[in-house]
Amino acid sequence: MSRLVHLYPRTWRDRYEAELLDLLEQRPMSLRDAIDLVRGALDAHLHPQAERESMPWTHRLPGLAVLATGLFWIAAIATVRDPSGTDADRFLGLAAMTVLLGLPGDYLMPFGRRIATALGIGALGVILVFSTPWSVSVVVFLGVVSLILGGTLTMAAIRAGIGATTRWRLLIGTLVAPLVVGVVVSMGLVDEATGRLAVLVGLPYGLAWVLIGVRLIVRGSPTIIDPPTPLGTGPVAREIPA
Amino acid sequence: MTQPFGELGRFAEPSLYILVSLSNGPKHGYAIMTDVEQMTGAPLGPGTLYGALARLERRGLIEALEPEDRRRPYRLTGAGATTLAAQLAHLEGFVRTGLERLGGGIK
Repeated sequence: MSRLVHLYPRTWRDRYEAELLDLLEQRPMSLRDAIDLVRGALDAHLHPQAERESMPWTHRLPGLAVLATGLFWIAAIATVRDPSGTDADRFLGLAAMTVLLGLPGDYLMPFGRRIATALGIGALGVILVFSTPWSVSVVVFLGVVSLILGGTLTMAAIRAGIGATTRWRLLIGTLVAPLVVGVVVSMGLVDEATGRLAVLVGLPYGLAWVLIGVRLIVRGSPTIIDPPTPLGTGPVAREIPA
Repeated sequence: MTQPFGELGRFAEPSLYILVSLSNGPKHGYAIMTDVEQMTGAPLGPGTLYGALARLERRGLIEALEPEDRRRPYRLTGAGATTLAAQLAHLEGFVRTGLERLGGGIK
């Protein structure tokens, strides 16, 4: 019956689900409790109490990165259709690298990010498969690995409060450098023979990224660069007057 | 029930129980539930409990403390203590008046 908790709105569950599930595990649940939960869920939809706190701007970044990915990808597909177009390679590389901007801080975490992670891995696969010289694939792969590992370490350093200058140097070094390398390396990855397949597969793929990006922007998505939210900082309790 | 409890609708009475339960120290959800059941003899449903907790927290009458595993204790805020004291005083007067009138009627 604890599945009834899923009837509550997402925002409410973000705040209270864990403790409510803990409570439900501590006592046998009766039919009356189940009805009470359903009523509570209905009330939570009609009169939302657990409103999302004001969202830090950093929570928008993963969504923006994903949205940019989708747009870059669609632009690349549009360019592939043009026989004389040569920008598709650059766009695809840019899209792949943009995907990875969000990976270290967000997509390696659970829930919806699993979808984004799978799509990101798919993007990498496409880029690597279409990279005719394997030496180029190896370079891209190494760049991606350095970005993910370096980016993750940088984000962790930011979260740990390491000096601002060092943080930004790390951030630039681990995120921007692979981006630049990736864009340069990805030049010339797609030939005209793959154009039709790219349109059939690539367009829905790009649209999927756009939708996920919009969803992430609207909902926000905590990253590991955000410090933990302090709790218990409200007004101090005092004794009840006699 | 007077303000701010009046606006809580069906959660007004559970909210009062919760504030009373928290008046002698922080408690998590299950502890509040069992405490209220001991005080009133009636169980507080989980949906009602968390509906009331959410309302009290939003109004600043209680606050959440650091979670202990999945349990999150709540405690009364200064505003919550003041509100509870005023509410209990109001009820005390109401009870006294009722008893006096009842006593007069019996005579």
